[in-house]
Amino acid sequence: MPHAHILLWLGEKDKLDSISSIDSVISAELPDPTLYPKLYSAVTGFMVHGPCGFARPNSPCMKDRRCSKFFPKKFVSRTSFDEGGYPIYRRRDLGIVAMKKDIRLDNRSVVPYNPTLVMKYQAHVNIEFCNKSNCIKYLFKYITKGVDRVTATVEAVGQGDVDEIQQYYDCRYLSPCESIWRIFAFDIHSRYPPVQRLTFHLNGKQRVIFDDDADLEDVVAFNQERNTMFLAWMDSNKESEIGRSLTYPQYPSMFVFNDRNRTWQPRQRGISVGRLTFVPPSNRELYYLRLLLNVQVGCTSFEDIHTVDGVVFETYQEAYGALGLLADDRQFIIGINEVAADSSGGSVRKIFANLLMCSSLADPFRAWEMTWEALADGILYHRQRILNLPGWCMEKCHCPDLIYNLFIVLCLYLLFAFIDISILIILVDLIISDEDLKELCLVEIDKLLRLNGKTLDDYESMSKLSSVVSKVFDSVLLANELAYDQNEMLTMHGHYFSNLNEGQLSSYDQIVHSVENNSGGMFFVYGYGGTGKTYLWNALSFRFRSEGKIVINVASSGIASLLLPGGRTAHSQFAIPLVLVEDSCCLIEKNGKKAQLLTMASLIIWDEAPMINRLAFEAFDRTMRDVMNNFIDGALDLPFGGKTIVFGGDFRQILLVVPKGSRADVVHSTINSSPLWSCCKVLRLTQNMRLQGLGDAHETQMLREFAAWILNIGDGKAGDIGDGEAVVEIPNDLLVENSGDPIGDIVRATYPDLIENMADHQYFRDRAVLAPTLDLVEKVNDYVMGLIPGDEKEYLSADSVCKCDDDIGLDHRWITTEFLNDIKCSGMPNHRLILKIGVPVMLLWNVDQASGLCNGTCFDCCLSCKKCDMCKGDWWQPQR
Amino acid sequence: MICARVIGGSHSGDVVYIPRMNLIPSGANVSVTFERRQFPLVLSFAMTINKSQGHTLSRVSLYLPRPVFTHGQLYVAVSWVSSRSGLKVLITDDNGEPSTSTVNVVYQEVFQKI
Repeated sequence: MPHAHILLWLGEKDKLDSISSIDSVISAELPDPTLYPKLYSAVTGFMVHGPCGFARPNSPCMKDRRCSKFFPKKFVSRTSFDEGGYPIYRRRDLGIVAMKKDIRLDNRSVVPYNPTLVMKYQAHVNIEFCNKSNCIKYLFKYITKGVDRVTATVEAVGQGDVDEIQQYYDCRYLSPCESIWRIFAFDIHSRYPPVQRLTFHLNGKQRVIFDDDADLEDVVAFNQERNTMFLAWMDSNKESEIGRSLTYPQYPSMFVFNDRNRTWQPRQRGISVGRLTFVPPSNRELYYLRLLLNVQVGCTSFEDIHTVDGVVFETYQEAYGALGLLADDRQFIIGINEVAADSSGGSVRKIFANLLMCSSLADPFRAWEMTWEALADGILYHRQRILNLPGWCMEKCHCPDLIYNLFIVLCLYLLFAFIDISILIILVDLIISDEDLKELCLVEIDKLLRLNGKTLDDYESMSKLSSVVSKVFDSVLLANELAYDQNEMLTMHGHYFSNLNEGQLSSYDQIVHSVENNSGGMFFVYGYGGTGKTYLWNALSFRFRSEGKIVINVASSGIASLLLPGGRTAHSQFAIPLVLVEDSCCLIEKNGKKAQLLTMASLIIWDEAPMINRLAFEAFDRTMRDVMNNFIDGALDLPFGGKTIVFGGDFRQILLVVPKGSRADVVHSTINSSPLWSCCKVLRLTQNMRLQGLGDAHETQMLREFAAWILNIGDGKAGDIGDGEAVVEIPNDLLVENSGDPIGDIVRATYPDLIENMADHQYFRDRAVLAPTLDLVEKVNDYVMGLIPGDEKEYLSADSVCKCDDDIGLDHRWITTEFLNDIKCSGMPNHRLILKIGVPVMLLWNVDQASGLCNGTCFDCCLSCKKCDMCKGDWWQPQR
Repeated sequence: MICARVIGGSHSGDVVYIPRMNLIPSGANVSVTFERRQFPLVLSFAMTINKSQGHTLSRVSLYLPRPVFTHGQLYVAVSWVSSRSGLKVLITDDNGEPSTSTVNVVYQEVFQKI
């Protein structure tokens, strides 16, 4: 049957960039026969697949007893994309059917179509959306593939002359689309935008072309005068100021290379993109020269290219490294030494521990060897100061922190071992050997690691602690949880308990009852923001901690964990694997320290539970049953092994993110879709604490109405109620007046008198512009950045391909550094990070939870400390 | 190293040093697995609604040149503020014209199982 495959490229403005715009063009549903009778008959006549499958096994689409086109499809309520990037069109179960060959077919059998095209042409017109490079590749193949037919003639071999023209005719095959293209005399090839290949070379190593018999002296004389494209760029920089802000690859955007007189001249019209010729990494200096050319601007000589911040480096590689673009440890070592110059050993050790924790160091041992003196700074002084204090007993001298004290109580024999060391240290104190100092320093680093649940032993290449010292710290996880001052906890509890409201008190009683009777149980405290969940967590934690019991507080996100007393993220505390499947378990050794902590815990509190995939809870449940089975008979059959566990959260908030997941995927992955949910007792908090204690009746009424409006939005009761989506009218007084410059308007509304308030530490504390997508956020941030005075500092990242199994079949040589640099994705800083002094920034990684450095923590920043005096200046002083 | 001071929370005012770190993206929207050594920082004059979950904010401006697209986003965006005066909203339609209404997305079936 004659047919055509047509690929349409949509212009920038008409791109189908949202689900709703796809739905407006492509439909895979039967139209309503009463509203659109003509369209209904056209769609049922042309656009319904089948019948096939069981109903009609001899249908031409059937291969191996299955439909090769995968009909009938599934009902879905919303258009989405599958893992390969192919669209899954909306097919709702609306009860509309079509009869074909006496078989009822519904929306599952509709071939995607466009109503206008079907009506206009009254023919089968399948329309598909493709916006992924892999779909496009497939489509090109599809529309250009030819018919399987050739015209052949039989000739005897070796007779007569060879007719070359005839041979050419015989071999040349034109596909239908190419023939049409040629008939219409369209351009066979074009290029947009034009690409200017940029050549470059090391100093004095340009390529020279000459004849075999040329006189070499003439060749040298001729070429000495003759500029290369690269040298001409440097010359042009000397003369023309406007190009000095451009890198060499950016240069063709404003300049044109004139081949005849070999100079760059200002561009009069058109555009062009510059591309540096490829150099393999094995050609070292040239390779680094190429990388530097992507960064350096306004160079007038070769020396300029390998000059960074006024320092001339010997090689291009060193210069590149100085820009922080080489992924070796050098910048870290320099950084540590820089920080050590103007701050205490404690903060330097923290940096080192953080670097270890996020495995940024390529060779930790070497970095340790090169920086240990800086890291050990202050340790000796600290010892001396302790020793010089009169009247201190020996234990106190050397057991200055809680962990030591705790273990004196817990294990006496270890204490004796420790005193041995203490005596040793006292004797040799002022002439302490490097080895001992290193050891002490490692102990300090180990302590920092242990606060985050890691130990030095986790880093194979690092120096090990001698066994005696390390044993003392072994159960630090447990020790941290037991280190609370019971009296203080008791006072705190008294204060919190007396202020619990009715709902909180009822929840509190049920949970306490469950813990005290060891009856176990799974609770979910459900309440919106302001109903005092965190308050309840505090009351519970203080209560049990005052009794010397262990309460483990975790939250699904780092920033939420900071609000909990002694909170951690669930992933780190329970070692939940990052990739979860139906039968995942936590990475906890059954007889290890974590398991010990979990068995001893009286209560586990897990906040913001709806933000995590239910598989995480199920993995933790499986692990707890396994761990508790050692202690309680029948623990395998109890949820969470018979522990009392309290979840908290608000289902009105954003649920977890399922990459490319549909609505059903998200709902199905939420905690209340888990089989565990059936044994969960839901406790409701409904009293809005924010409305309490307000004197003015009118004000209270206003707040009450506003809170009700917010809740209606959360419950989906505001505006007209549709399936999932509803249009909500925003009250006039909340709207920002739009003067035609929306970004400017919103920024002015959020940050009034921005410049005057820059120095105020509190100013940025609790304000922000929120937007749904990352590109909008970036636009606003760029806009505000442009308003702020002061020099900006640019930080470029070093990007490299991970050599992992996922990308088998991908040739890593194809991937240039520029390509990686261009990638932007959520949760990841951009290749180019631009900062100014005092701007607010947010952390994107869980760096050091014990110090409150979580994904989402906000800062205001001062740039590299060594160079600016900000830290000592006014800006750094605490503002009141 | 970047020197920074914590804003908000129990560690407010602490001065910390942040080194560059090796970061591997977790999102599935990248075709190659790669590693980026960069300061794990981003400007925070503006942030995505999803990122704001968990922050305590009392003055929020909501910028909606396109509507929210998943469950709970609108609620999260408006629920941080405790008073009416702390919330500002700017909505524009597809043509960049100011608008007074926007779309709210709520998956009702999530509430049915509670």
